Amino acid sequence: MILFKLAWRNLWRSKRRTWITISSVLFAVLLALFLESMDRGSQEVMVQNVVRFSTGYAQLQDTLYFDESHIDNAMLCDDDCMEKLLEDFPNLAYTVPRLESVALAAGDEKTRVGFITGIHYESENRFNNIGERMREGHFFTGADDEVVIGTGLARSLDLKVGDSMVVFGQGFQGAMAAGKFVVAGLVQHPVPDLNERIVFMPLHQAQWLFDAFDRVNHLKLVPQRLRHHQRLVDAINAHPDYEAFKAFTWEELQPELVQTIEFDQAGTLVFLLILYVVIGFGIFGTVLTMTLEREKEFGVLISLGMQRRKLAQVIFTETLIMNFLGVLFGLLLSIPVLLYFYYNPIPLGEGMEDMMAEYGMEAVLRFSLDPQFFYQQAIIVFCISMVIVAYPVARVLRLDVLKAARK
Amino acid sequence: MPVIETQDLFKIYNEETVPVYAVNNISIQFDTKEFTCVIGPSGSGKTTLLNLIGGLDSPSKGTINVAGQRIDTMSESERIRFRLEHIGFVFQHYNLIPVLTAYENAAFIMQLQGRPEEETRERVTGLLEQVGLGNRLHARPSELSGGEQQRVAVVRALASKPDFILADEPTANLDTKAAFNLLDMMKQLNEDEGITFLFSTHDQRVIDRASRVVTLVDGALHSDERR
Repeated sequence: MILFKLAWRNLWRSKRRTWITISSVLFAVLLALFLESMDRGSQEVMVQNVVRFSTGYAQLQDTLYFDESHIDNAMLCDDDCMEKLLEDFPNLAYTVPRLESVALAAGDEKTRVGFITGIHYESENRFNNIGERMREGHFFTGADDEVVIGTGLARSLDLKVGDSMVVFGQGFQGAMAAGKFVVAGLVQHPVPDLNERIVFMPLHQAQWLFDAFDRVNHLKLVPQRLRHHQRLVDAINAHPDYEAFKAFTWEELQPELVQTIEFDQAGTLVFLLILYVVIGFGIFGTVLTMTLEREKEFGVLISLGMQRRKLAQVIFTETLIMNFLGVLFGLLLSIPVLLYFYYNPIPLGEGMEDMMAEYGMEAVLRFSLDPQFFYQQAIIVFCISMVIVAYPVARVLRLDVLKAARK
Repeated sequence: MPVIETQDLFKIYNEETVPVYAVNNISIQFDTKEFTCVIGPSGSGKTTLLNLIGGLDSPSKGTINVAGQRIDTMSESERIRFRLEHIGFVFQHYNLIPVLTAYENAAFIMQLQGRPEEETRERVTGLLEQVGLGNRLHARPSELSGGEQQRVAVVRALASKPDFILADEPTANLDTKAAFNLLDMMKQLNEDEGITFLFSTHDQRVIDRASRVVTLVDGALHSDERR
């Protein structure tokens, strides 16, 4: 108790200096959280945009499909199979089936390579709100021959809503895939390349076209909690009933995206490191001053019979209290700040709006409120501060008592 | 019965180049209840001798027995523990802990020893009242005069009932009245509590009240006068 009392009172010996140190830690936590939140926020938006319109957060495929992504390796999974998945894995919220293949898509005069995609409109729309991207016409009404195509493809083929379109290609195991369809709507796909090629049609229609009944290339798996996708994938891969399939996370399916994020994180890390160094030296300066100006007192205390380790405990406790208060106030202050930016993202300026819109993104810097980085940053700043305390502790452990007491 | 005994004690600096004998072959005993002054000109080795006896420094040669234990062979940690349990210190500059009150300063050693709170409170409060500081228990050192601070320092040294008290120039920073008050108080405690006092001093006021005066010259024992 006497040691804690001594530490606490020592802290308030120089109130201004203590508050400056606490403020240094506070701003370190606040700035680190601000940077991290902005970085994670942009990454989350990027992942959402890319993942939602391509691989999904997790995906189930035939075991052969990953190495050879061809319709011949499409998995056999009908409605019963999808229902069983939902029963077997409570962590699975719903599935989004897709049957995809390339085929020639032709209008009256022009032909392009189309990316034919059979979808369950309800689950697809639930997953990525594709319905909101309709620019003309409508999604499927129930008629067998309806397709919805990308606005880019429509431009290339000079097609309008109500026009006919022919699809010609190869189906399951070499079967011929040919059909004539009516363009029911035009959709602005957020991925520019796909916008030039996408042809959506009802899943059963695609299965008929490609002669791949009850087959899908893959099922997008949407977990109850998106961040638990790895857990879901592990559970499916470990289940004996699904040996013919293999589940993947989006990280496995999108290594380029993972690399982009890692590169982005590396940039943020450099900023954070600079911040940590600046703040670290600030705290070190205070701790150094506090140590040097009290060396005589340390010498006296050891002379009186206070063990060096107890004295080190006092210094450690002083730094601990300062850092704890700094981290605590930093966290408390960062919550309203980040909440504000979470609900009011920073606009990137008018010039960026059109460019970003093309990619289906808003021209704003989004912030994340992922609780994980709150405690991560708090722990990092706290650890840095505690590393700094090693200096005064080492100095006390090596202190020449006679020299110090004579100061 | 000797509470302190040194035998062939040397403290030599620069042994391998130009040796300086800060303490030169001192064999001496100090008995319980003695009120002894160690005097001598500056550089005569008074403080070094007290540092050796107090376990703050290690001798180059010789032995030091304090309260029946060889302290010259102890590790640093053992010596710190030994000081806490057996030796009280009074410094020239008082050296109170500025963030603690008079009471907390005086109780500090007993608290470090882990003595029961009730015992500490009774003993420290009693002693502070005895030295005329009963109404200044909660004052910080900065609120006390030099004489009052030194009295708190004496109570701090005395409260845990050490085997002896080492006082290095305790009156050097005090005016005459404060110095006499302090000396009267220490003499009284020496008689009442039976505590051994060992001073290093230049102050004639202290020397006049000592029951024994040990004089050092150039690190060696020059005279030893009992009164």
